[in-house]
Amino acid sequence: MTGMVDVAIIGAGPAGMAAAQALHVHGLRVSVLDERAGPGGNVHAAALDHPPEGAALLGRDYVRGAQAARAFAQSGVPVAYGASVSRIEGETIHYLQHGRLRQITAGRLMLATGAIERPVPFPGWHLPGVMGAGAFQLMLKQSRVVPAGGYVLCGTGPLVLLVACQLLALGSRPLALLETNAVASPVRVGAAHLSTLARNAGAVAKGLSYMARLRLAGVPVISGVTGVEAKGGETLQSVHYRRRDGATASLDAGMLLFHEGVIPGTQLGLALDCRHRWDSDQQCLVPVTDEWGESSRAGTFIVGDAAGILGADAAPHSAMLAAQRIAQQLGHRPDARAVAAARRALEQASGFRRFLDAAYRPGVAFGTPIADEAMICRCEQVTAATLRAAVRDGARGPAQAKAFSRCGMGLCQGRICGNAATRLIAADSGLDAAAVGGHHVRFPLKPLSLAELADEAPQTEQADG
Amino acid sequence: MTGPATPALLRRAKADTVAFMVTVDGLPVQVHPGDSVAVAVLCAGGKPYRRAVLGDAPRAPYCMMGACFECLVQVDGVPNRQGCLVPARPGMRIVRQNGLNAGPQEGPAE
Ligand SMILES: Cc1cc2nc3c(=O)[nH]c(=O)nc-3n(C[C@H](O)[C@@H](O)[C@H](O)COP(=O)(O)OP(=O)(O)OC[C@H]3O[C@@H](n4cnc5c(N)ncnc54)[C@H](O)[C@@H]3O)c2cc1C
Ligand code: FES
Repeated sequence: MTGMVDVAIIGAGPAGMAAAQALHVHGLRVSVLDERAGPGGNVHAAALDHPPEGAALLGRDYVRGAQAARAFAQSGVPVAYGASVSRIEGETIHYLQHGRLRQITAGRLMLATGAIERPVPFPGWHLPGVMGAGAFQLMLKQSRVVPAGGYVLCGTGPLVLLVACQLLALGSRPLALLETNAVASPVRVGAAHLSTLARNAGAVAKGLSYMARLRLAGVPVISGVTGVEAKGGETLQSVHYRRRDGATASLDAGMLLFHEGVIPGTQLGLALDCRHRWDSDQQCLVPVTDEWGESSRAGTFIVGDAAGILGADAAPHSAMLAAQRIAQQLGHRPDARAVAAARRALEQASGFRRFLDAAYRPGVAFGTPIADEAMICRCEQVTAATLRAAVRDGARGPAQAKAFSRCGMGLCQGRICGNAATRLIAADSGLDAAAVGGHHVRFPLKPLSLAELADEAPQTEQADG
Repeated sequence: MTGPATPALLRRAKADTVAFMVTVDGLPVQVHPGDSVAVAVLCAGGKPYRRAVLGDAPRAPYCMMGACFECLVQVDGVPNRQGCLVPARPGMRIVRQNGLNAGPQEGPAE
């Protein structure tokens, strides 16, 4: 990897890989950095580690993703894996790789850092045994492991269904799927989006086939679930919930895999002071960009799910737009056909996303106020009750709440509590969430040890991943 | 494969790769290429994955993508590595961090 490039791309998921290849074709000097050990991003994690039969167990989309990752690996684009971006100052990107800080200079920056699962605090969500269903899916992709004991899937959206089917394909059956969708009849929502559904028949068929597989396997699907609580001591022992008819019920389980959708990962964009807005429908921050993906920080583009959730299939298209724009800015002729095709694909993906957002409403995250005993800030062990007290004492934003309660002060720097803190402060103070805003994010993105700080490698000394 | 402790995870169908050994708290654990350090600790099972400095609270990986810092673990003598992002390598010495015993280096050193 050379010390100076035209474009540095952070993230080697579907978006980052596509952008890198498009820029490479224009003859531009590109470098890709990713914290993970290989390409594929969150959706196709560990794509290169599986022989084809293994990948087939994870579904057809995963096989296609693995092919894309393989093509990327062979494209000759310089990439550093295990490289975590730590600080960006002007055009210099400092990243930590193999325990050393290294740097690279880039005229333009593309953030293809993807999404995170929406962190949804509920009582007991901090117990060992409770984790994101998408998080578990990452382990399943990397290692083909399944829970050793009884487990419950809980949440809403296509990803929970997909994870359930991938677990079934590995011979593992959940005790139940607790559906927390606040929309009682997604089918009725579908009726209002018929033309969109017709245009996305493949995706619709996929969703229906997941449901059919669950039914065939005899997995109990309990819909209209609210009031989810995890109980246990050293580890999870039982999952408690309210049924649609108001009765309470529980299941003994060693694991609870929870998922209520994904939200853009905004940490790097916020640290760069890129402008963000509060999306009141999805209740999360999203970066503000122009139609090419360029943020309010000139020369910094944000693409893929980091720019707003459109899904894995759409991610390469927003990346393609940004790549063509950058090529144009650097004096190359953009590929007009690629631009037109990307715009069409994005429009179709947006239509389908509008349907998904209308058909699946996170019931636990959006439905009821966060329970007092839920630990909002896992790092500093701050409960919702404590944060509420801070709001009563006058905290009107995450920064004040942090000073009053330590919420957001821990190692994760607000990645996990930030979204919930904004929502809680808005709900309790009566302010608009847009006015409450998010945490201030400062570099370094992750804490550095003193040894790492003392040992920054000079510009020329760079390792390829 | 895991000694007397109950593992949190079971392996399915990765016979097509060549397994290797790491140690978790000094005990041998069999892992496969592609496994993260976090998966190695969960396969070892038994005790909680780690204990937080605050109140010794038991914690385990939550996000598996480097966001939550619940997977902190000592790897080959270096504390506070994010186990979910570090690939397991043959012979790696992994040690769980138990509250204040994690050593003086825990915490950000900004
Ligand atoms: C846990 C999880 C599981 C998912 N599973 C699926 C699925 O099965 N099917 C599906 O259709 N969608 C899934 N999604 C949705 C997902 O967001 C996809 O739509 C897709 O991965 C988006 O592609 P992307 O290229 O924008 O980002 P991603 O694929 O998420 O790639 C982003 C990359 O950026 C890297 N990165 C982030 N920050 C830094 C940093 N500071 N320094 C260095 N590198 C960094 C990450 O390591 C990652 O590899 C999942 C999302 C999550 C969070
Ligand atoms: S499990 Fe969340 S950072 Fe590793």
